[in-house]
Amino acid sequence: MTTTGKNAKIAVVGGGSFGWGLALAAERAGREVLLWSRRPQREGTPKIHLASSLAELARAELVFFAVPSPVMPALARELGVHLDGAHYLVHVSRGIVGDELQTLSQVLRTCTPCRRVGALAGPLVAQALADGGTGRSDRRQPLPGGPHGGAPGDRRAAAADLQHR
Amino acid sequence: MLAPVMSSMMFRLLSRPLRLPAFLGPTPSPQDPQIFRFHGERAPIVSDVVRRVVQHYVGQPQKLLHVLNDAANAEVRRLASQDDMEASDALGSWKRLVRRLGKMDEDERREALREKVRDMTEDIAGNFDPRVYGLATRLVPNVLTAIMNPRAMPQQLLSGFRPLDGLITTEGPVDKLRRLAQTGTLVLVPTHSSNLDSIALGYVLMRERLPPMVYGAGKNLFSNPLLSFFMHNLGAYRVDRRINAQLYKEVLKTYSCMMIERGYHSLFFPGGTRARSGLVERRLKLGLAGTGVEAFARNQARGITRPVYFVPATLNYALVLEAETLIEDHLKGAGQSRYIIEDDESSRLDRVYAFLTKLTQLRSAMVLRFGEPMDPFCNPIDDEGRSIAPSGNPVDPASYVKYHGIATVDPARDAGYTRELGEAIARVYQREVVILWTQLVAHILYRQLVHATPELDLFGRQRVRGQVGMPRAQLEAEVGQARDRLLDFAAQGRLHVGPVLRTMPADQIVAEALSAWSGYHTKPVARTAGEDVMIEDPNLLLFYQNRLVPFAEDLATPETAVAARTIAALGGRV
Repeated sequence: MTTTGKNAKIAVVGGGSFGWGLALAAERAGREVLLWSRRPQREGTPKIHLASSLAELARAELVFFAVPSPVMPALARELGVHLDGAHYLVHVSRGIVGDELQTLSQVLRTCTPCRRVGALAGPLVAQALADGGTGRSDRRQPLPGGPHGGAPGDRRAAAADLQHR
Repeated sequence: MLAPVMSSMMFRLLSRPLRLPAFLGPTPSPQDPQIFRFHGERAPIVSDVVRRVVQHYVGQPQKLLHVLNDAANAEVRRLASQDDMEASDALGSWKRLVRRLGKMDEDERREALREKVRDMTEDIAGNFDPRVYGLATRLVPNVLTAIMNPRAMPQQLLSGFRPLDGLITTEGPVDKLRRLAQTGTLVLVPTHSSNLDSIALGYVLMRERLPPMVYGAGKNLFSNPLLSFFMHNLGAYRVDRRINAQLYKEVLKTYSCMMIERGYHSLFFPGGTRARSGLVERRLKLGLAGTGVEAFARNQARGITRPVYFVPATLNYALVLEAETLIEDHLKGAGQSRYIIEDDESSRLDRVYAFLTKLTQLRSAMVLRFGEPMDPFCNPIDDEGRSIAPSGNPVDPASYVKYHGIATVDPARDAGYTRELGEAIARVYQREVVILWTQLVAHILYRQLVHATPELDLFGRQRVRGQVGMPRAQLEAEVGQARDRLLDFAAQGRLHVGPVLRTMPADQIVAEALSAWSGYHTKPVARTAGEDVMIEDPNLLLFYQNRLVPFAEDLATPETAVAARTIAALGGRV
C-alpha cells in the first residue's frame, strides 16, 4: 500500500505556516506532498494534495508534525493507528507536555508504533522555509557549497535532504 | 622429557570439552527446540561464523591489517602475563604472526585471519547433548548439589533430596513464554547478582518446561572438569573475558547473532557483570543481547520471518552468595577494575556449601520473576505472539527494519534500536523487581543507621559497627508499616512483593531475616542485644537494602524522611 522509494509521498500534519512551509519546501524538492489540516486555509497545488483524513497520510514514509505541542499527543495517537515501524516521524514543535513532562519526541514514541523519530531544530523561520530562504536575516545570500552545503539547521539543507531520502 | 609431554596431554584432556560421539545420539523430533539439533549443526555454525567475520574485511586491507595487529598485540600481552600451559601454546603462534604480518600480502593476511577466527570460534562454540540434558533433567538438582559437595552425593541420590524445589519460586507469564518458544526465538535477559544465577535459571527453565537456552559462561567457570562437562553439553559457550582483542568480541557477537538467527533460544545477562551494589541495574549496554536485534534484521532480509522475543526477568535472592565481596568491591569503587573477580565466595566450595545449606532452611529464598516479553523494538507481545502497537492493534515487527519497503541490515539503525531496547528492559526491571524480607528488614535497619548518624557520609557510616541499634519492637513496627506500603505499591503495579512478606506477621519477618543472615555470612549483620537489635555490618545491610532505594522516600515515616532522602540519593551512584 505504501508507495516507497524516490516516488514516496511526504506527509505533513498541520496546515499552519510551518506545515505549509514544509510542504512547499518538499514541493520545491520535486516531491508529492499530502497535507492534512483540521482547517485547511489554502488550496492545494499540483504537487501538494490536501488529505481528507489523517489515515491517508500513512501512505507516506516520512511524516512531518507541524502542530502546536498541546494537540500533538491526541493527533499522534489518532494517526498512530495507521502507522507502523517503517514510518519516519519528524516534528518541528517545542515544548514539554502532559503530567509526565514528556518531550515531543517521547510523545511520538509512546503514542505511535514508530521508533524512527526526529526533530527539526535550529532557527526556524516559517517564511524562509516557504520561500526557500536560509532562515537568516539576509535570506537572499546564496548558500555556500550549493544545495548540499549550508549551515546546520538550514531549511534549504532540509529541503535537499527530502530530495535525497 | 616425558613429564611435560604428559602434563600437556593431561591439560588438553581436561581443558577441551568432552563430548559423546554424535552418531550415537537420538534423532531430534521436529517439535524439539532448535538446541536439540546443535550437535549436528555445530560444524556448519562454526564455519558460518568464520565466513561472516572474514567477509567483513574483504576489500578493506587497512582494516584487515589493523584488526590483526590489534589482536596479535593484545594476545601476546595477555598470554605473556598469563604464563601457563595453555598460554605457551598460543603465544608462539601469535608471536610468529606479529613477526610475519608486515611481509604478508593481503591474501596471506586473510588466511591468517581465517585461521585465528576459526581457533577463537572453536574455543567459544559450546555444545548441547540431548542425552546429557535427559540425564540432567533426572539428576538435577542432585547433581548440582553433588558438584558442589561430592561427599554428600550418595545419600542425596538415595533419599531423593531435592533442596532447590521449594527454594525457588517462579512468577510471571510462564505459559505464554512456553507457547512463544514454539513460534519464535526467546532472548532471556535477566538481572545478574550471583554466579549461581545461570545454574538457578537453568534449573527453573527445566522445571517450568521452558526450553533450554544457550548462554555464554565465563571461561573460569569451566575449570572444574565435571561442571565443564555439564555446562558444555547443556548449551553453554565459553566467553574468555580476559581477551581484550577487538577481533574476539566480533567473533563472539557473530556467534551469538548466528545462534539467534538459527532460532536458538538464548540467555544473556545484559548488565554485563554481577551488580556490585545490589541495586537493580538501571543502565544496560545490552552487549551480546543486542545481537538479537541484528539477528532479527538479518533474518528478515533473507525472508525468514521468525520473530525474536526479548524476555526481561529479575532474579531476587533473600541471601546472595557473594554479597560480602560484591559490596566491598562496590564501596572501593573498584567495580570497574575488577570486572572479573576470581577469588570470591563462588570459587570456595566451603562457602558455596554453607550458602546452600542455609538456603535449604529458608522458604522461597529466590524468586525468579519473568516480565512480559517484548519485540526488538520495545513493543509488547500478545498471547498469539504478535507485536502490539500503542493503539492496541498488531504491528508488523518487520516494518521496523524496512527501508523503502525492503528489509535491510543497517548497523547504525540497529544500534539505535538496541539502545532503546536497553532502556526499555531497565524500566521493566524496576517494575518487575520482587522485594524479599531480608531486603526490607535491612532497609529499616539501615535507615535507622542513617537517621542516627546524620553527620557522617557514606564511607564514614560504613565503619559504624555495633554502635547503633533500635528497639526490636520499633523495628517490627516500622517493618510492618513499610510492608503495608509495599503491598499498596504492588497493587499499583510499581513492584512486586515476595511470598514471605505477603503472608507473615512483622515480628516473624524480622526473626526470619535475622536468622537468615546469622547462618551464612561470616560477619554478623545484626545481632540481638536484650530488647535491641544492634547493627554490626553496615556493608551487608547496604547491599541488601539497595533494592529498595527507588522506594525509600515513599516508605519513610515523618521522622525518617531525611534519612530516606539520603538513601534515595544512593540510587545516583550505580
